[in-house]
Amino acid sequence: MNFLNVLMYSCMHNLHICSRHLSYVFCISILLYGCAHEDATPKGRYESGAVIVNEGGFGSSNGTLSFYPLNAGVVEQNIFRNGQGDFAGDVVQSIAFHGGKGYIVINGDNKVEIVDSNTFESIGTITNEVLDKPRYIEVINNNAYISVWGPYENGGFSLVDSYVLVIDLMTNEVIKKIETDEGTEQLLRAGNYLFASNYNYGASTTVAVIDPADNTLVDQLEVGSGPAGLVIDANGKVWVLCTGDFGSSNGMLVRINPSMLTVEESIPLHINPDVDLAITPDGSSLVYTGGINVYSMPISSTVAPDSPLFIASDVVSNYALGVDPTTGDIWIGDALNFVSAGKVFVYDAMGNAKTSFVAGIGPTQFMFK
Amino acid sequence: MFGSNLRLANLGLHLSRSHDMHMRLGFALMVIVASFGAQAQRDSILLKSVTVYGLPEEKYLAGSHVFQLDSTLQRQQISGHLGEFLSFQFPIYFRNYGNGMLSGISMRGTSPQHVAVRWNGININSFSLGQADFSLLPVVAFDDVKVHVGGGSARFGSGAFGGSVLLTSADDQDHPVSFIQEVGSFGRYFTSLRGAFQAGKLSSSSSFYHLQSKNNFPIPGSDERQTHASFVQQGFVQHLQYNLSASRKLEFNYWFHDADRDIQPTIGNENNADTQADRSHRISFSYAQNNKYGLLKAGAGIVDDKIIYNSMKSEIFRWIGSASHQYTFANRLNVSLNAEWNHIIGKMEAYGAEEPVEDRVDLSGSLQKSFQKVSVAFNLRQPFVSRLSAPILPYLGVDVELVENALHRLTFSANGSKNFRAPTMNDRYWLDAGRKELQPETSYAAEVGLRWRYQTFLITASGFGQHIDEWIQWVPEPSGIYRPENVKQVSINGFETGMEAFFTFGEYALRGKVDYQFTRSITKQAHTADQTAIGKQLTYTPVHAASATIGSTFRTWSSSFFLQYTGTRFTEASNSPVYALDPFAIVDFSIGKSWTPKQHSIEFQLLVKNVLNTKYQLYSGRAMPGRNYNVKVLYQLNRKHK
Repeated sequence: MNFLNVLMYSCMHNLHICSRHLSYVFCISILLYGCAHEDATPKGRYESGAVIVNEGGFGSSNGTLSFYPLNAGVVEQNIFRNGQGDFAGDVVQSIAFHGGKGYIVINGDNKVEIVDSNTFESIGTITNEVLDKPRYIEVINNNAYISVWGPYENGGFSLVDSYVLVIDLMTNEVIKKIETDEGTEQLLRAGNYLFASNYNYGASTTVAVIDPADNTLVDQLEVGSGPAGLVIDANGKVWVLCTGDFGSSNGMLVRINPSMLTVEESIPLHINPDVDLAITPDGSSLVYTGGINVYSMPISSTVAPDSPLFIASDVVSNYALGVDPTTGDIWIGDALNFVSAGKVFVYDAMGNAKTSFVAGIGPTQFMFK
Repeated sequence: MFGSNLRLANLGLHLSRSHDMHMRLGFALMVIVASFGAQAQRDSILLKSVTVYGLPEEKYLAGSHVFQLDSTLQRQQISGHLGEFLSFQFPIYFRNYGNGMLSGISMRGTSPQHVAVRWNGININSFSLGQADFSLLPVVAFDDVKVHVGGGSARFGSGAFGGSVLLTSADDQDHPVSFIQEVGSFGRYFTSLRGAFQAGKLSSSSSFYHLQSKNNFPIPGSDERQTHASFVQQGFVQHLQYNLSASRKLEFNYWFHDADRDIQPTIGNENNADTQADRSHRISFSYAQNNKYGLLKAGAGIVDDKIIYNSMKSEIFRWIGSASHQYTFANRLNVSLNAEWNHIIGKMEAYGAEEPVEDRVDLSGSLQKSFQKVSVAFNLRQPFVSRLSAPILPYLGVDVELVENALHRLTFSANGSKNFRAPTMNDRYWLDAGRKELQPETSYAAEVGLRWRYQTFLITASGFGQHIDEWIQWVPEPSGIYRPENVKQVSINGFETGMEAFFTFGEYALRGKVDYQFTRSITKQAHTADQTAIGKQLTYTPVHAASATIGSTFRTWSSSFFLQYTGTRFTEASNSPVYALDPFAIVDFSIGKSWTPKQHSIEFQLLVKNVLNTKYQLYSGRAMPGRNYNVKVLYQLNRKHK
């Protein structure tokens, strides 16, 4: 056990119940999925299937991407190696696809690796001195928007300067640093705006609204403690999953009108949910978890479900949630103890176990393409 | 009875396993003669010898091996850290988090917390982390390095599962002045200055050392250089001795070590700014007297370890007291009784506003009896630790001379022990995570071995086993918080074999040593989150490891060849090949020339490290340098011997 590990323990619950997340990418994935099917010739080995983002061991530079072809069902490990090492990087946080490219956010390495989305061959790397603990990425109009936690306060682990970084993908230069509340996490484009959840382990309470037309901060909407997961529903409304204050069971689902920029509904969950929020393929039901309990709530509901849809009893340490946008299958990532390769458990939309397989260390995000 | 005098300054000048030495009949007590007393002054006035008797540690460890490191080889690697040195001497694995970074030892299939490191009789493992960082143990600070392999808690206390490293900083009156300057690749500079004097009943030996490195080595297999890995280490060692009479002395030892480093990030990392400073003060003060009632020692000490990670400080402060008495009966029965007390104060924010205080008291006794062809040792220790119950720890060992004649000597050894490791301060007092009620880890260890000496050949082989229970691991609770629990069981089985040989052809002398170890270190029981580890090899624990050193001299020329081979290491608990680190072999080579005009010694040495330019990692994602060079000049003033 080294000192880093010990430091890690100090913020272990943070690191381990925080991290990752997707959801906004589902709509993009659906688009890409559609495109892929129009083309008869395969564009690459990884054209169609699920990409599993595995953080790797903290400080071990062994974060990986696994690929699971949905028809073949044989997982392939470590499909992308960065230029220097044998793996994708140190603490692989998230991936987003846009315009035939994959953007892999490497949280520990403070960079973004750009790959061909079908072959996972390297195209380039975004590095910048203000990239300090990057989390998620969204691409709009050839600009990359990256949520960045920024530095810790001196001598501690409190975040003091988080922001959304706007990078011109032609030059890889920073063109704007948009200051937000601390712990800026997931990004979701809805309507004319980019929404960013300010999570900060429950210490921030807002969702930042950015106008990509002029890269300004339009508003920071008060939603509840620890906003994390973001999705768009069938009605085009934005849902925010607030994890609540630690140990207070005051998590919430909050609905935002993305054009009026108003909070329309706040539904207490009576638990501290995990950070991931997913939505069924038809956009009619929200899916979230509290440990191994998997919940489903129709978007029309005004109260949270009393009991879970099902209990993922095989899972030890739930670390990722995803819903296959085609089949509606519910995917759970089990990080175990971050020393072993984690597992992925796949359930059908009703919660019946379908399959499971071994992924990489700390599976943290699923991206279906 | 006290016929075998051994000057302190001469300790460690042999590539011999001191085990052999203490097997000599009639060697019931080794007499350590304070070096200044045994030697002539420059003005040729011979002081009266002052003798204080001490039995070598290994005497009480019959049945196991205490290796004494070769001081010539030690001098060739003088600017390195102990981990770098030991990895070429034994099949011992070190997980280094980069070059010059945190270095954790793994002996006989155990983890870094399972080796007790002692300096002048004081345990210097970190009391917050449990392990010793070998990168902070500079070879230059020690006059004598011994390694005991296998279970030894009965003798060395908490944590002696895989082995114990015994370090001594002492007097060197043979060299009133010595100076070393090295220059090496990647902006590496090492300076050491040492002086010794004596005045009446007082003798003093002081040494200062400084090491710095830009450490911006080209990363093998990449066109980039390592960034953010520079370090500076410096320290001061003071030994003072005052002889109250021919059989009574006072001794004072002080060692300050100061390290500042940029934490070497993982390969490909950008914008890393983590830094760590380590500052340790170690002070010991002791009184010893030897008379017909035996050898009595009493000591007191202070250890203050500070780690400043970025600007976050952690500090463990210890008061230490100790007393021991040794007596040798006429029938070659040696008895030793020891008491040791550590008062530990944890000073770090993570332990909360109230500083946790812990007392550890160890009471132990040792018996050693020599028969004509048999030596038997029995040790028993009872530790007492605040708010937990520690087991009683026996060690029983035996050496039997099966064959002994002019050409051959064949020795059988066997030992069995129960060992323990107290939970660390972090394990017990970390706010909202530590558990005061944690139990100590325990282990049962056993070993059998054969040693065959034939003329100048020595061949050894031993098989060992150890079962560790109540192994403490930080495991996730349902809430996601990690907390320590006594959850793991590990079974270790293995064997090691080695050969040493010595040849001379006229003025040419050749000395070689090669060792191999096979270790299966298997998790038997584990936490729910760690079930995939069951039946698998522990991470960072190679099954195969080997080392070799070959030293040769011709007149005033010398050369050394160091080899280290390490097999595959798994870094993932279920032993996935995806994450395994590849086997590697690294070779260091040195060539030196010495001149000795009159009282002066001058040495010049070129050391080529990683001659084969091997790309390897000791910890996942941390680069290690390829071929690099180091030039050394040494000057020594030698005291005239009568």
